[in-house]
Amino acid sequence: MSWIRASTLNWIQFLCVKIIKSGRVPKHIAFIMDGNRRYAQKNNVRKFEGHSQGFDKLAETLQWCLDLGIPEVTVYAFSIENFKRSQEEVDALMELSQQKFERLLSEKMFCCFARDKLMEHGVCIRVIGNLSLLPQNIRKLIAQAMILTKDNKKTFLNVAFAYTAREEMAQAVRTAVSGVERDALQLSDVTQQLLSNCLYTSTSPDPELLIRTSGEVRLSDYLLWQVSCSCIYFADVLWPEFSIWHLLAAIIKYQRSYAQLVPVQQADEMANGCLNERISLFHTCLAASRLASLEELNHAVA
Amino acid sequence: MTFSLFRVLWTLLHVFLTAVHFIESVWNSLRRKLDLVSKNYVDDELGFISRHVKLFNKIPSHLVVIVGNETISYRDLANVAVWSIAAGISFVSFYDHHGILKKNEAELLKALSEKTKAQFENIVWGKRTKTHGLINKNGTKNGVVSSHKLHLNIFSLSDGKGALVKLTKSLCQSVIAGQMTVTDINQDLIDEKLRAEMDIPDPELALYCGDVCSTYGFLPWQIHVTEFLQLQSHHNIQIKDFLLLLKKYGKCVQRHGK
Repeated sequence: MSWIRASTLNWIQFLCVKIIKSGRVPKHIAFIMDGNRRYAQKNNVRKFEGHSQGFDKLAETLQWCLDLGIPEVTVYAFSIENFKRSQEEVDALMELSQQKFERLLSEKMFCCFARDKLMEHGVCIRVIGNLSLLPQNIRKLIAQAMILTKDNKKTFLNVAFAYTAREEMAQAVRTAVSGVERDALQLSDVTQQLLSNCLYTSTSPDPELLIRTSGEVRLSDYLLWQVSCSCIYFADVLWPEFSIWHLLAAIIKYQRSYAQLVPVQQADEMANGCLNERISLFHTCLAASRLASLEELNHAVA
Repeated sequence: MTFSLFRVLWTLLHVFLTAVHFIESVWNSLRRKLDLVSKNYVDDELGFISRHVKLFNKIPSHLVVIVGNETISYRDLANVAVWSIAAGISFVSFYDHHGILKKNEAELLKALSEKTKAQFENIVWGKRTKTHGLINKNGTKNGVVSSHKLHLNIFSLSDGKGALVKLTKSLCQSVIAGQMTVTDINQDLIDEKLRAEMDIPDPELALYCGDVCSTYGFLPWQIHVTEFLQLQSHHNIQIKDFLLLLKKYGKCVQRHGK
């Protein structure tokens, strides 16, 4: 199974996609793909099978998002809290991720003549999270995937891996303080905008819609800073059973909600504080240093 | 043109949904009025609540009401505060991103004092309220909280990301002054500092008013595991609605990543 698959929609679904698309669609959707294990339990298969089907569902969902004209998607693949699961399950999840990232990279190797699918779709892959918590081989694969796709500009897939929002915010605060400490920034530059610029997601617009599956109604430490003005949709379905209808329902809900969230967005933007050259320069340097550490990972011997 | 045909269908869909929604809300408000008239009127409403919550698996220790885009009804918020005392909830926070509630804190104070003489004594006005300095002569000593007290707080948009910005600034000053190093800054430190600043535990339950589910910018750091439930409207909220939501919360199971 590849990262992006051919469209699986039948003509009725395709028609509905066309209709929904004629209204406003979010430019960025975030997903919490919850319920793989409950799905496995329900269907009497191994946990690993649940996770594997969850990945297939992700590929399918990404295709739907492309069909709908949604250019950016962020998914919660693995939380730092998930390291607390049994060693066996964590190992299996790491193995699965390794496989998928290898697959992603090898798609390029296969197609010496035609450009591979990811590049063809212009997909830029970014992994957000504390990569230092991951095994070396996966870090290297992640670095390779990010570097390979970094210049793609058409669509963006952000994968939250070894991620929690609190860790991200703490890291942003630390980055900002160290900037002030070494005089790259002044105390007055410490604003809401600066902290946003120090997050892992600093180059992405905030998601306009957050979808969580499995019927749970909490954010589980996911993008807490970024979703402050977003429409949240809790879908009462296990992730492997998520269908185009659920996605369309979420988008309809978004279409009926976004106007009411505009005042919140405006108030939030007002609180951003003014942007000056020092802050922009700091942001550019930060992006460069993050890229440099990826290059270093890429060249490191696994 | 095909495009406009899709657009027409799209408009029809949304008109249809709006109509359904309208009928639903009329039906709901009618039912609410009927309930009020036919009245299983409860004499001892507080006793009624305390008896009921005993049946639930768990009760939040910190409840938040996110007012959202609704106009504020002080009387109804006062009701929620008083019912929360009866339910054994120790912290209640009201959030409106406009900051109107914060500005008009006196109205809430008035509504509360009209609602209840007996319970008024049991309300501790939190650090984030203007009343904090006026009424709390004793305050909470060293974070010791007596269980029957209700800690009431009012938050607005700037208390969320703004608090984190403020904290970052003060950390910068500490680092520059050599009181700490950058590497000391981690999740636990930030959590501890924000907790000391706000004087509240993380909310377990947030009720958002209206049809749009969003955090409306409410305290991003503190809501990492908060359950979000919909309160159709806080206007004319009934004890029945309140108990139903607490019951729903009682059924939420958290696995904390495991």
